[in-house]
This record gives sequence, structure tokens and C-alpha cells, in this order.
Amino acid sequence: MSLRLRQHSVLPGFGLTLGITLLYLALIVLIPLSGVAIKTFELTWQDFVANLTSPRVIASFRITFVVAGLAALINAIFGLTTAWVLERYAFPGKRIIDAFVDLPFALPTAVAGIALTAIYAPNGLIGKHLDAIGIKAAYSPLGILIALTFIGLPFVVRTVQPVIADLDAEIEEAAASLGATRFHTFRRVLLPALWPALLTGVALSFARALGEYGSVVFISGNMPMKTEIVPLLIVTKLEQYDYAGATALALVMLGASFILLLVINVLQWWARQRHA
Amino acid sequence: MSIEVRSITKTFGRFRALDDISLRVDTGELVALLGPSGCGKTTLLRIIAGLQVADQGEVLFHDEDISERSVRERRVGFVFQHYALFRHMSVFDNVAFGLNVMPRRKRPRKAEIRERVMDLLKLVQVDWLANQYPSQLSGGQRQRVALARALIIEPKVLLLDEPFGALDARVRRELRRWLRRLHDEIHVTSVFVTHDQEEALEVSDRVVIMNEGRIVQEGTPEQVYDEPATPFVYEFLGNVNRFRSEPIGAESGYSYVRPQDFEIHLTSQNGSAIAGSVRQVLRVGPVTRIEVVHEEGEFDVELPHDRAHGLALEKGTKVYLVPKRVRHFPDSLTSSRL
Amino acid sequence: MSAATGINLSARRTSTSPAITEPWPVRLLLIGIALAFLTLFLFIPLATVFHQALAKGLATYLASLREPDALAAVRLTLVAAAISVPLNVVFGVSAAWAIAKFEFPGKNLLTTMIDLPFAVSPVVAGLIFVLLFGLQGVLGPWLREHDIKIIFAVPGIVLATVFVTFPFVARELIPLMQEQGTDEEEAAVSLGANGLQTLWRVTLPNVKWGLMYGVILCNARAMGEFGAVSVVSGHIRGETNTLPLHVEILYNEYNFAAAFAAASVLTLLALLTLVIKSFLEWRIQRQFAEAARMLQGDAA
Repeated sequence: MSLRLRQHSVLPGFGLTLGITLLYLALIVLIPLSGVAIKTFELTWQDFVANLTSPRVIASFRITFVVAGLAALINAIFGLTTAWVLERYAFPGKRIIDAFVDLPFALPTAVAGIALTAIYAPNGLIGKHLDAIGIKAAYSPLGILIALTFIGLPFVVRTVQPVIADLDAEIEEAAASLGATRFHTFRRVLLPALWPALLTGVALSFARALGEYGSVVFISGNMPMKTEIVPLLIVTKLEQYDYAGATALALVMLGASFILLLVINVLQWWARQRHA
Repeated sequence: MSIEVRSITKTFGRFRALDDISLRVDTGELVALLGPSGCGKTTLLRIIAGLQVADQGEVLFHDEDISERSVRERRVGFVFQHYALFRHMSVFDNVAFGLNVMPRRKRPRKAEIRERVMDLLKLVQVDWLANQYPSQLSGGQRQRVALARALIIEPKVLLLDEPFGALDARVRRELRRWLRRLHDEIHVTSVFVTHDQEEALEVSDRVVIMNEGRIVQEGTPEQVYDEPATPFVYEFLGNVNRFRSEPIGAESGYSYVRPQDFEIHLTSQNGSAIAGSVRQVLRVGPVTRIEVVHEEGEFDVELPHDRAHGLALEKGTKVYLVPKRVRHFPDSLTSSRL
Repeated sequence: MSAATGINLSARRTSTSPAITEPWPVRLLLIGIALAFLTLFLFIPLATVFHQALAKGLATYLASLREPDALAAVRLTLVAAAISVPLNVVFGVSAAWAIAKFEFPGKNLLTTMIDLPFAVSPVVAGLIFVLLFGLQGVLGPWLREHDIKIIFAVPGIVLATVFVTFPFVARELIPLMQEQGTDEEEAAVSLGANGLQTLWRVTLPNVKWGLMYGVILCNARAMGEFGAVSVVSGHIRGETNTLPLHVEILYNEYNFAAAFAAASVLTLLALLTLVIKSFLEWRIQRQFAEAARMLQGDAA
């Protein structure tokens, strides 16, 4: 087969580079991932179901998915606003602020975790004001929401921003010349153009939030049934040498990752169709 | 060094790009591969260079089969359509590249490389741009650099893919005359691909016209223009009027006359004159174009400006057209795309 | 994870036509909302790190960084990055060469597979290596027989780091090299260059900014990774603690000043990453504009 393939191009190195790629992919990613599958086969179906249906596990799935979803939603709204402001308006310090949007990508999650905890703890900079009006931020689901919003922040901004930049000004001018108000133009002309990118950003931010561990463990308080997220529960089970339980949870998380990866691919394909 | 291809066939999926092509280019010749886009001319050029591999057939350089040799071993000079200049290298380094990548024992010394590069840059008249980068050059300058880069390895064969395609009309005309003169000077066997008939007719010693993966006609520019072998060539090389003609033998067919090959008379002529009336008179640059409506359709006729002026043609004038040069093709040929 | 980590290639434009902008109160409101959001979630946390780190004075700050455990953590973090970044560069260049310069069936699937580690939770990433190499793991008994320790040891940390940073270089290079096509490489080969010469003299110089971009992101993640490394590390002080894990241990011991001191080092690294990243984005944008100009064939 490779003989036939090579004829497409006179450039050398196809066999070598594809070989390195596949070997490395197999060694680092595929074989280790298949370890989860092998371990799962050691479980009986009853064990597997029992592991996933204990109240503590169900509670952790609920809190993880609900809060990750909420964080993605917050990022959708504020991320879109931020992207719009950074792309369309001029104000001092814009370029620096623009660069800082990527901070959650660059900042280690543990650092984000302790910093957010320090701010939102009952004696913290913002936490004490919230505490005064009876809102508990750190060590509550709200704390998890804050952490997940932080780590998902760049995704929506960075997927929507280039699309806003590429919007053809003439389309908006055409809408205006046809008598549309600015709000109408945004709702009927701009938002439909931004949808695929916006949804992609939301999906990316949700996927990231689902698996997040480092920033959450510090701020959540880690109370079983209340503020225990799935990644933390996996770690806890591992520390108790409950490999079967950890594996069952990991398998569900992997499944969710694959589905999201698929959704994101479809969304990006859709965005490209739109763009072209 | 002569180039010969024998029975070359190349398919992409189900698309037959080249269908049993055979062609010979003699030492020192400058040959144009001419045809509409998609006719396979670029594929043929890339197969000669070794940038693509044919499904069947052989490529011979100097009567030696080199089909199995890689592009590196063929040592052809190839000028790419978009030049493919190395954008991170200066003009000098671009041209020196072919020498710099030679194995150490064959590689000339630095001083010699410098001398050879500068000589070539002088030959293509861009030596003053040696330290510039490709993005700082105009299209015509890039074309000259691309040519110098291809020539540095002293190729026995020079292949050019749409060498003037990306240039504007004025630069294109200037560059193709220059390429003709350059070829007369260095005399390297050259093949270039073009879709522009004017370019092919003006620059080359010999034109090879291709369509749908086959060679339709080859010959000197005069031959292919004056004696088109098929209706396709007629229509591809310049404007032509086509009309139904008397059956020749048993087969009916069409006649072809170029717009400048008509005589216009105001009075009835005996024999083959076609009667019609003027619909429009247009001055187009150096010639006057007259649209004549006749009973089967309309003709485009071109006359020198002063001649048209003398006839005082206007809309509605009755005229009689006498073809000076006409070709008949039977229906069997006319329906073919070749 | 995906497009978001990619390079923003679009040219910046600030609209001036009155027909396509908002009235100034709306504009002001939107800018206000965006800035408040970013202040709340970015700038206050950033300032907090340094504020807390220096809360007990500069002397305490410096002392906590000079502590042997802290230095050991820095060393291990550097080792993990020094191994995983070059490995992923070799892989990234190979993958980009194969995917961008050749056509083959299954190419899209392969590209998606390369993104896989971004989609996997860091904790799961750590777990898979425990399941493979841990005492109860698939290869556990064999490893113990041969006295090889991977989990709760340095090799495990390196493996987990390589896994989570796996896609960074490849996913920057693939679109960049696809965009540049194969013309220049074909020209190089037709002039007699061999594969290595073509890669080294033509392809890599053309993608060097994108490569550095991938390297800088890869490095930032390698040095900052917490979840995956935490699972495989075993938290042995002075031995299997990276800097982020060191932060966690100090924090859990209520040694906040020292925890934030270590965190401040990581934060400075993140800030440096952002500066270099912005510079590279600017360079890459320029390069793309140049490439577009070259294709149009007009003069500069």
C-alpha cells in the first residue's frame, strides 16, 4: 500500500514520519487508554453497575455535570461579550487585556485553585463580603462554579473572536441600510453567523470543566454528596485501592470525553462550512 | 539534451489526466505545451520532471530511460507556477540553494558559489536584488529569481509551469520576449506550459496543443495557427466563425473562417460570397470589428481601421462577404472534442 | 483543547463606520461588563497570588523558595519538562510532516486521535498509567519482579506529563504546514536537496514561529500539570514532588505563605508564557500575511 501512496508525492519520509507518529501515538495514548478497558473486563456487570449507582457516585456525577454546564453557560454569555468588546471597541490597555484572556491556559490549575480559595474563603477579599450577606462561596457548589468558570474562560472568547473579526462589515451595513436596528442586526444577522463558533466554545469549555481537578479540589471543600466532583472521587477511590470503582468512573468520564470530542468535531466542521 | 516521453498514461481516481501521450523534444528546442485548464499539460510537465509518477509509459532523456529516477537525480530545472521561492531566504540564498545542498565533496567553494550566483543574477538582470527577500519583490522579479534558482544546477532540461501566469499583462509581454532571448543565449532544452495561445505562439519554436489528456496537434506556431488540424484547435487559437457548409463528398460539415480572413464588398459578388447586413461597427484598438447578420446566423469580421473607414459601413449596410481562407471539417470531426 | 488554543490568525479591525457600531452608552456598558468579568476572574486571582506570597515579608518569601524540598520540586519539574517537550517536538514534527505533506486514508481519524489527550480528564490520564504500571496494574507483577518502579516514581511523572502535553506541538504545526503546501519542498527536492536538508533548510524555517508557539504552550502545561501528575506521584517529599504538587502539600499544611511563594514562581512562568505567546502570535500573523501576498504575486 505504501508504494502506491508514495506515488502521490515526491517528498521523502512519509513512511518514517507516519511510523514514528503511529508508534508514539500507540505507546503514549492508545495502549495506556486500552488499559482502562482491560481493567473494566475484570469487573462483572453487577459490580460495574453497583459501582456507578451508589448514592455518593450519583451525587458526584450530578454536581460535576450541572456545575460544569452552568460554568459553560456563564462563559458563553460573558465570553461572547468579552470577544465582542475586544474585537470591536477601542479602549486603553486592550491589547494587554486581550493577552491576559489566555491566563487560565497558562496558569497551573493548582495555583488557580489556591488563589481563588484565598479570595472566596469566608475571610477572603470577596468571600468576607459574601459571607456577610449569608452567601458561602468557597467550600460550596458556588466555589466549584467559580473555579470551573475560571478555567473555561478562554475557550468561548478564543473561538468566537476570530469569527467576529472576519465578519464582513458590508453585511452589517446592508442590514442597516435596509432599516434594521442595531439590535435586530445583532440578533438576525450577527448571532446566526456566530452560533457555530459560540457552541464550539461552549462545548470546549464544558469538556474542560468536566475533567477539571486541580483548581476545584482546593475551593470545593470536597464534602461527599455535596461538593465532591467525579475526578476527585476517582482519586479518592484510588487512594483506597478501590481500582475497580475508580476504573468504572473513569470509563464513564472517558465515554463523555469521546462524545464531546465528536460533538466538537461536528461543530467545527459546521463552523468551517459556515465560514467557507 | 533531448526529451522523449513514450505512451504516458496517468489517472487520478477515475479521471484520466493523460491518455497515451508520446512526444519528443529535440536538444535546444523551446516547446510550448498549450491547452485549456485540466487538459493534462501540467501533469505531463511534472511527470517529465519526476515530480509525479506516470501509471504507464517511459520518460527518456538523451534516449536513456530515466523513468525510475527520482526528481533529485534527474537534475532538471523546474520553475513553479507560483515560483515556490523559499520565503525565509534572501534572493542570493534562494539561488545558491541548489549548490549548498550538494554533497560536500562535490560542492563548490564559497567564493565560487558566490561568483556563480552573482553571474546568474546578472544574466536574469536582478543582481541588484541579491539581499532582498522574496516578499519584497514584484511578480516579474520573483519570476526571474525563480528562473535563476532553477538554472544554478546547470540543468540540461528546463521546465516551466505557467511561467507568466501570475503576472499582469504588460509584465507578461515583456518577460516572454526576454525568455525567448534568454533561450537563444543559453540554448537549454526547454518545455513550458501555458493556457495562453498568444504566449505559446510568440515564444516557442514548436507548439504542442493538448486537450482532455491527449495531444491534438503539434507544429511550428505558423503551422498550428494557419493549418489547425481540428475544429478544437481552430477555436482554441483565436476567434473563428463557423457556418454550415455544402456537403463534401458524402459527409456534410462546417466551415471555419477567421474574422480577419474575410473580404467585404458592397456589391454582389459571383460565386461563394455570403450576403448579409451590418448590425454593429466597433472600433477595437487597431482594428474595426463588424458584426454581420446573415441568414444562418452572424459573423465577426475584422478589418484594418482605414479599410473599414473607406467602406463607410454603418448599421444596416448590405454587404457581401468573401472568405479568403476557409477550412471545412466533416461532422464526424466537428463533434469530437479533439 | 481545540480551536481555542490555536493561533488567532484573523486581522484585527476596529470598526469605524457609524452604521455598524453601537451607541456609546451601550458600548460603555459592554466594555464595563467585560472588564468586570475579567477583573473578577483573572486580575484579582493574579494579584492575590503575589499578595499572599509576600504577606509575611520578602525574607520569608525567599527562604521558602530556598528550602531543599522546594528546590527538589523545581528540579523534578524541570526534568519532566526537559523530557516531555523534546519528545513531543519530535512527534509533532513527524506527525505534521506525514499529515500535512501527504495524502493517505484515515488522515482525519489520525488528526482527531492526536487531540485525544486534551479531551481526557487529567485525573483519568494519571489513572490509566496506574492501571497499567501500578502494583495491581496490568504490568504490575512483571515490573515488581524486575524491580522497576514507574508509579510513585519519576518515570510515572514523566509519562503522565508526556501524555497531557502530547498534542500541543503537533496541533500547532499541522494547520500551519498544510497552509504552506508542498511547493517549496518540491522546489528544494528538484534542486537536489535530500529529505533532511529539505526539512531542515526549507520546512522548519518556514514554521519556526508556530513550532516555538507549540513548544511554549507544551512547556507551560508540562511544568504546571497537577491532576495527572498528582495521581501517579505518591507525593514523596523531595523525591516525587513537582512544583505544583509542592504547592498543594504546603497549602494543606496551612503553610500559606510558602504555598503562595511556590505558586508565584509558577505564576511568573505563566506570565512569561503569555508574553512570548503574544509575541509569537504577532510574528505568525505577519508570516501569514506575507504568505498571502506571495500567492497573490504582487509587489510589497
